[in-house]
Amino acid sequence: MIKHLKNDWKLSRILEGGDGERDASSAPPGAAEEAGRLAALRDELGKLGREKPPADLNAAIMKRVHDSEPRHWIYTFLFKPRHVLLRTSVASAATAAALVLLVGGIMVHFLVPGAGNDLEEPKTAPAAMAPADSDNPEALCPAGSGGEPVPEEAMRNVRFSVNLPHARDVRLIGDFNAWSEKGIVLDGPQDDGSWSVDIDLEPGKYQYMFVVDESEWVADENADAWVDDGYGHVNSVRYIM
Amino acid sequence: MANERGRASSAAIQVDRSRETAAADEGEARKYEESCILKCLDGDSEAFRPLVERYSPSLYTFIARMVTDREDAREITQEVFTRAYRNLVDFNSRYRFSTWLYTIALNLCRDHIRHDRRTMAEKRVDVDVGLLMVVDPVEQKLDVKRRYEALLECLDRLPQKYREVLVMKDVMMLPYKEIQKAMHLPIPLLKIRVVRARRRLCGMITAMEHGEKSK
Repeated sequence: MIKHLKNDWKLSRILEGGDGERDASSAPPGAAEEAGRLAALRDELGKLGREKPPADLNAAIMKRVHDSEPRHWIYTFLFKPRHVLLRTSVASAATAAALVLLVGGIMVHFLVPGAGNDLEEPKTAPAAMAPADSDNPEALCPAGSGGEPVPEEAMRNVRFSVNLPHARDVRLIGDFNAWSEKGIVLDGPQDDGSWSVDIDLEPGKYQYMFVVDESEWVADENADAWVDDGYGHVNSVRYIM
Repeated sequence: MANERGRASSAAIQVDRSRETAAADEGEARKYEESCILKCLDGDSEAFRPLVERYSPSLYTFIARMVTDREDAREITQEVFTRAYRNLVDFNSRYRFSTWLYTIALNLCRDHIRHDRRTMAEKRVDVDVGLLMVVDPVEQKLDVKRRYEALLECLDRLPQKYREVLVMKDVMMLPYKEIQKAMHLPIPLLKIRVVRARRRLCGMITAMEHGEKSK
């Protein structure tokens, strides 16, 4: 079998090298006759010519192709690979800008400290006043100021300070001393121009003011809140916990 | 000697130019085919018509030589193109479109032969003498029509594996590379099979001629 295979392979190389043609006379003497016969047969088959197709064959083929179109359309619509073309247009640019603003707003809201925090009291506006019970004198005074002894553990040591580098005299006047004009004298000025004093207070809410050089009433910009005193002044408010 | 060399070199140049021209034409044809296929994939079914008109004659001849019955050949040809159109999305443009068509045709012919129990000789297509090319009368022992009828009859009776390669190689004159892609067989095996197919066909024709002689 292998011998026949080799002989046939040699014969095929004689008849055609690749797809080219070789002269059968180049075959070895033993195979020349057969090579010649087979080459002649090859030429005969090549001269058989085309089989004449039916005249309406192409029309029938195209009819079938068109008839298969709906399913083909559905198949290609669902499964064919598509090219995606991105067109820059005003609408696309506006959509992209809106998305950027939305994402940026979200990031600022959550990442920037203090941004959009509605829970804190506005400290820069004296008009943002917290309502205080100014009509109730007892509410202004700390509990226990009527002569009852207060346990030490209930007292809180609270510092009051204000920055007035050019003042000569600064005093603290408020609920805790019944708004006496003598007030509590602050120590200062320090090197940075601040005046301060530490006093013991019970937990509660206190209104107060600074009196500068015995003539000027000044609010505390570091207070917890501010309230209108009904006389055209703005009192500072501190909450002691 | 110098003249011979000059003639040889000019002949070589002419061959090279003709090959370049053929290659350029082939390249243009393939580009046109690819554009038609892309249009079909975009939903333009009419773009398939140029491909049908180009390949239907040769494909019909191939199928007719394989299954012999004219009606069957017509039906199978239509089915080949319909299947090709439906599966265009799977066509790999690295290969020739004709090779793909022949692959589909070969498979459909094999299926048809496997299911059709009628003998090939009963369904053989009548030879149209007008289509036959001129044959060297010195080498023919029978008249033209009888010779070619014998050829076709013997071709029909060849075992299927021999008939396939012989029709593709010698009747359709397809290059071995295209046959290899259609049949998925290595080229050396194809060449050996072609030789054996020719040998078998030659023997059958000789036996038929001897049988005619003895009558």
